Amino acid sequence: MRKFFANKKLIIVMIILIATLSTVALSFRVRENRAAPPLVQRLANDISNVAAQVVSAPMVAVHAGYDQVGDLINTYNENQALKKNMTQLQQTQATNATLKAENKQLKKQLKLNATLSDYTQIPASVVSRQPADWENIFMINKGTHSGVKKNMPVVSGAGLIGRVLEVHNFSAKVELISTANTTADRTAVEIVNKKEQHINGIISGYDKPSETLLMTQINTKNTIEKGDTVVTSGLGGLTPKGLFVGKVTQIKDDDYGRPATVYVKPATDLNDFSVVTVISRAVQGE
Amino acid sequence: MDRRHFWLIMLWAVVALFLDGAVTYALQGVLITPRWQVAPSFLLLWLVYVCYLLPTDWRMLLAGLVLGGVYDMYYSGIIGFYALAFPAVIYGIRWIRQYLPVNGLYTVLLYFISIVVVTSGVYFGHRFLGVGGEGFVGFVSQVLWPTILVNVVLAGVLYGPCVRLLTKWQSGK
Repeated sequence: MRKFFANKKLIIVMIILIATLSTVALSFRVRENRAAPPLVQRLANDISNVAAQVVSAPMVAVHAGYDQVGDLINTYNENQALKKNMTQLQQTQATNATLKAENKQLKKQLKLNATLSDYTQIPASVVSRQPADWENIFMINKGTHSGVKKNMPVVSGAGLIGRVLEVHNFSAKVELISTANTTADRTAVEIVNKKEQHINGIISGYDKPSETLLMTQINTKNTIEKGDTVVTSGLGGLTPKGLFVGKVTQIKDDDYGRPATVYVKPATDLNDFSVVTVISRAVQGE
Repeated sequence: MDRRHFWLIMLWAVVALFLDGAVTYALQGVLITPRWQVAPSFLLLWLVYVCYLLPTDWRMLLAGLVLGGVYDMYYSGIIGFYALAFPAVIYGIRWIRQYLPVNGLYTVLLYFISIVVVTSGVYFGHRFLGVGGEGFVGFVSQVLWPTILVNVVLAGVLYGPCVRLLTKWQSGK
């Protein structure tokens, strides 16, 4: 025993390993369970985010320029496609406005202040992305000062891309919906089929080769078809009802012929986004 | 290494730290695909070059610890993996420096070993916590191999400018 303690180097290595394991365990627990990290960590992250914005500014400018050139090349084809949708869109807008007004009036009559589908939007810019990307995390420039809270959903372009993982005063970390993190909160979703029936499930993983989300825990006899729309169900967490997630591309049945896994093509490219919107649900609750 | 040059090295290290994330974000469509995933490692590159090409300075161990801690805190929120990995790499390079000649080939070779050790170590740490993505085979073929390839090429390209800069600082200019 005396010999063991006489080996200074071994003791130092052991102390370092124990200290490292302790900080890993503690910080992991804080990240997963607490609404926000300790003040020191929040401050350090906010300062880091400012520095990251300075360093990434030229990169972001180049990225934006590249996107703009791409958009310019696609302008003609895009214009043709948009013209086709124009008439239909105007009709849908008019119908939407009427339904919105009617919905508001009915809610008033029922004395409903807010429902699961009501939310406000907090626009944010992406500053940086985790280099070793197996956790699928990126950083945004909005935090608690702008009303961002842990577990709020984040959308980009047409659909849902993730949820707020860690929130600081002026910045936040967002975990992509495609994360392989087994401890991550899962998003409750529903499929709206051709017969307007709603089938509930959760997004539980990501299939890398097909670039699709995996929807599981489905218990239904209703028919699911390719092309059906998948939206958030608003059940649990801070996610409102009706955020577009994607479209069904494949259905795998279990031994009893019931759908076990549904493959969902995300509405947004999960590797091409620059501006995101954090969604704050009107009805609060965990 | 005098105090001014030490802080200049630290400034470049901080830029490299945030450059890793900025490059990943700006080139995410190219670096992160279903077939491969490349993790830029500018900070590790800078630390390896500084520790191997400049005379021993034990302040670098503390610098590695702080930079690793910030790296963990900013990119993942789980503090400890890079905070342990960076000082370990710095210590290892300081030790091995006594036995190897200082030239371009050995510098890039040491960087190659450092990437393998750091990327694999952090990956297994994350897997242990249940936040890692790929299986082992997927990690080696889709993450580690492309990461090594791109970073070693970058290391070769950046070797000349880095050596010129460090030699200039070393000679007190």
